[in-house]
Amino acid sequence: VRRYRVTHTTRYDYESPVLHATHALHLEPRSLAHQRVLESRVTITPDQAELHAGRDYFGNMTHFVEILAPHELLEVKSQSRIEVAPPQLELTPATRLSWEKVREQLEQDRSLIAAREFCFDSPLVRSHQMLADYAAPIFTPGRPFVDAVGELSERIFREFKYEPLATDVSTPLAQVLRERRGVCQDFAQLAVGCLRSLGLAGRYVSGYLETEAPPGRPKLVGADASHAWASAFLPALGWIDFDPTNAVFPGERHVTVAWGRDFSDVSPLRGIVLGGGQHSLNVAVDVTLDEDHHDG
Amino acid sequence: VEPTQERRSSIPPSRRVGSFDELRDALGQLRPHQRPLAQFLEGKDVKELEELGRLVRQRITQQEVTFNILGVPEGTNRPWQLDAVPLVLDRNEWLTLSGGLRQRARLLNAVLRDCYGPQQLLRDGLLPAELVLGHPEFLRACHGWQPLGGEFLHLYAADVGRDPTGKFRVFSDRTQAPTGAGYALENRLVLGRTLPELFREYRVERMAGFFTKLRRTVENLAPVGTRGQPRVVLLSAGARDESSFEHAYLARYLGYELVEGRDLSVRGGHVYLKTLSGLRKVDVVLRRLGDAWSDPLELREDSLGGVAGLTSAARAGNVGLANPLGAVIGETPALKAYLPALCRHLLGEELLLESVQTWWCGDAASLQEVLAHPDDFVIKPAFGDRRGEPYFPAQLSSDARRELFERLRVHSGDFVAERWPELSGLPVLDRGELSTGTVAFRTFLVRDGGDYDVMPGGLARINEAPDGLFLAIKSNAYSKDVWIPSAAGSAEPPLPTMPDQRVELRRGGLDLPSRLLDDIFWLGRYVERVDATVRLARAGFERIGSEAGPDAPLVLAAVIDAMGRIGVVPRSTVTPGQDPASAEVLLYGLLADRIAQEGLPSMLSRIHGLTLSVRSRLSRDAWYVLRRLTRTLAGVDSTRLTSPVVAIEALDQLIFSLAAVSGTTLDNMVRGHAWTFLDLGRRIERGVNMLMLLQSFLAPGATRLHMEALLEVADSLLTYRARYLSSLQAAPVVDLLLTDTTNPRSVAFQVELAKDHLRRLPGHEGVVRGRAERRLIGLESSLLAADVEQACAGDGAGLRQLLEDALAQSWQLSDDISATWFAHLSKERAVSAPHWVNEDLEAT
Repeated sequence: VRRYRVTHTTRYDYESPVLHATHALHLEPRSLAHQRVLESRVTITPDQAELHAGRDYFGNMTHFVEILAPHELLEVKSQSRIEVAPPQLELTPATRLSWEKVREQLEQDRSLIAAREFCFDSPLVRSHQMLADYAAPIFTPGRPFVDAVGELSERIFREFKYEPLATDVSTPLAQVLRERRGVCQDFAQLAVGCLRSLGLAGRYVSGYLETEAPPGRPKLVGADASHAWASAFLPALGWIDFDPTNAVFPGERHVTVAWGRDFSDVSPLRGIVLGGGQHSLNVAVDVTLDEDHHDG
Repeated sequence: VEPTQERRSSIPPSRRVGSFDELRDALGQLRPHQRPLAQFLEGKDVKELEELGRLVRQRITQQEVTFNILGVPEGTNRPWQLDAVPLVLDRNEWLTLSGGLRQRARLLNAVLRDCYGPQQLLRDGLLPAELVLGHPEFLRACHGWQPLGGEFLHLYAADVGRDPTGKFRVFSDRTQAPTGAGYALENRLVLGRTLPELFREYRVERMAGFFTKLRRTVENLAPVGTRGQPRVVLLSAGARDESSFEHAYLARYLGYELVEGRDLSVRGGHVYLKTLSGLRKVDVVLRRLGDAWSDPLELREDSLGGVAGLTSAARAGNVGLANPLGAVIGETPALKAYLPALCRHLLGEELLLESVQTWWCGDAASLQEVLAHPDDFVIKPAFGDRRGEPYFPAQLSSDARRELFERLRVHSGDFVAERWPELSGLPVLDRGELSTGTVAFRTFLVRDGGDYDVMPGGLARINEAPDGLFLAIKSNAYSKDVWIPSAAGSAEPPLPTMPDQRVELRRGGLDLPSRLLDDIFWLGRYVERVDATVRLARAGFERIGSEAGPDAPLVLAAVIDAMGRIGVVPRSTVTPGQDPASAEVLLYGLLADRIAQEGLPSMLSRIHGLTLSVRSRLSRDAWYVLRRLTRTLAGVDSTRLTSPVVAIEALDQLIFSLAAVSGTTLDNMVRGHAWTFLDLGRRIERGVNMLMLLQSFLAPGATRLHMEALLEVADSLLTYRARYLSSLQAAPVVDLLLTDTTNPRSVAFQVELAKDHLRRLPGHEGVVRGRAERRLIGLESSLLAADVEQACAGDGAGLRQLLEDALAQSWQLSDDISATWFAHLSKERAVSAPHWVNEDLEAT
């Protein structure tokens, strides 16, 4: 079990005053079987801001912020303390289920509609023949679902180049697939798209990753990224997260914030501003192991 | 003379075998409820019938003003076609149909309630999950809470046609923002007045009661605790919306403010209307904007025509919406296939009103059925994507068929197949001749207590494609009024009347949306800019060609220089001492170039756009003269524009049109805020233009000819002559045009009027002067204090400085006005942060 302190700061500097702004935030980590949120708060600068919290359709914590005073700077700081245990993947016969059987159950078992919802197209991830073709050599007939998902994760890790600034939130999946490069967000959506194109359920997960510093050097504050990975649904077992950016099944170094059909459901901060002109955006994420509670 | 047999008209039998004949039964006998209509028609000769058609067209044309908005692109208007022959329905049949429609509305309401709540229908397998959770417009942000009023469907419309057995069937449902009721009203108004005897004989049921109920239902959606009359607005996509005519018409009829997304703002969880005097709380929104396009914050991020925060305001119970957000999934075409079972399950009743036979192709058995007999079906997008044209496989080439079938196999869930029966036939009047057409009609319902109320009547169309009557408005598609005879013994109805015009309840109209005033302000500015341009151009054209004197090129250069300053010819094409040949090219371009950003055609089209957007506040006359102004050049054939004479003729036309605009606004416009902003716009523009004219015409080296031309452009030559006879000198010219407060063309005159206007605006009641007013006072005193004689002395450097300072002040004044009254109108933008940034990132 590990304990983290996470600080996620988003800062907008506007060229001219913003007269009125409303933002929707997905910044508070979720409580899960393997993840406890010990403390979490969102603070806003300027302080003439109203904050309302609620849960969205997917159960994520959403904050709505309205800033009534003219401002040239907006800073949203989300701070939390979280305890993460490695997710327990029980090795039952279910994990040997073939991927075709999984698809069949999703189609036929109406008690699974909550998962089936993630088989359908979403604004940024639509199933496509190109994605199905990419996944076909992995999802071979009769292959156990879990194996195939693992290989999908590894393949994306091997065949795609992590390249910041090569893409942005509006880059279509087809381009990512063609150019074989992108960032975690693209790889997560690519994996989700492959699953959906085969009739399987794929979910997009946002969160944080604890990154290690090179040996002997202090970990840099602010160097940790806001991260994203994917999740696949296996009936009888539930959602299995996998991280194609690192080719791992997330353990206790992944902190889950929110999930949805794709990035658009869980964007950390989405807002509408009146005025402001040009702006610069500055995001810093800091994930540190809690001093008082080391890996035991 | 006795009418002879040939003179009378006859109604042809329905040509279509296998379709239901609205007029006659199987034995060829007139149906009882059609007898008065048939007698009426057959009693007319061709001339009389022609006259009837002409009367209807004329009455529609009288409304041309309003119908012109349809479609929009400059000059084109989509004529609304109304057939003089109404569709009369048998009263008992209508009552049965109404019962079916009401049940269907209750059913769809219950389906929506489940989809946005427990989703038990999906778990029970009564509705495929794809059709709800896979619907691109299923709004997850609207799941799990009850909208104000507790219902999910307040307004509903169904497109109905009659199959060959005479049974009514629903072709499509409309649950999002059903359009058409306004057109039905308009049709009724025209036809009731054209056929008064027949209208009285049938004792046609009035539609007014439906709208009273609609108003009550909508107003009952106001949040608990709303004091007094709730404020309701009709939210439209604006003048460019296909149905903008109807939005304006209904808003006026119902007495609600017509607004666009940018007129509203959500603050502290409440919806407000941005008005000149501040924010005014809105209690209910009658929504004519697509569901997903209503809120850029929680719904589609690109829906910037919507209102950011509308969803959360509705969720908090602070605003009522008709219909609630998300109701669009009720009109999913594929849903029709499941309604019979859903009706039994949810209402415990059999579905009374059948749909056209519908198969959702995502269901394997249905797909097989469709692929086995493809020619029997119409294939459409399952989710009712409005851009998706229906396919008729029987009419496709073999390649296109193969391609369609392939798509059906691969993306089967995206398609729905329907079997459209032959529609019923009825008489149509066409150029004095009676012929037969097929008909379908839209019916309208509104939530009323625990049930729904059906509008007695509807909007019928002569149509081959009965699905979504508004999806393909063809120019030749006639509409028909639908008449429901009253019960025997009921009182004779009054003839339909023009709905009451909305009255300004408060003098001064402080609650006008600011956006409207901003548009009116710019309307004033552009009208005045056209005025200055036209006068300059006329002076220019008078100085080209063989008639022009030897000094003409000098003046011509000043004309072009002034145009460059005003910005109606590209600055880059203006050169000092412009040569006459290039000046000529510029002048013709100014009149004829329809592509250039500058120039008269583009200015007129901007005026047209503004006129459309402030339409709801213009009197009929004002609308008419503005339309005439913006069309003035449309009639000018640019290939004929070859001589200054022809050009001057066109410019004179414009001057007349402009005079009509000033005359109409001056005489007829109530001196409220709309007038204030219109005139403020004109004053500021006129002052600025005059300053630039003075700069161009009194530049160093200006001659007597320059001064004469300047006075001519400024329409002040006569005044000058009366005062100073023929002695032309700079100082008196400057005095007359800059500082003389009695000359309506002078800068000082504009400043004085503008100051009066500002004092009448809110925010200027107290002793504290606003920055715009302070600016004007500064400008005024610098003009009053100016020593004109001295400024004009020597090389005129003093004058140039004076003009430059006054111009700078005027530009700032315009900014001050925007900042004071329209700052909150600036465009809203979406900002978002991605998931992966971990270092400084410059966003654009």
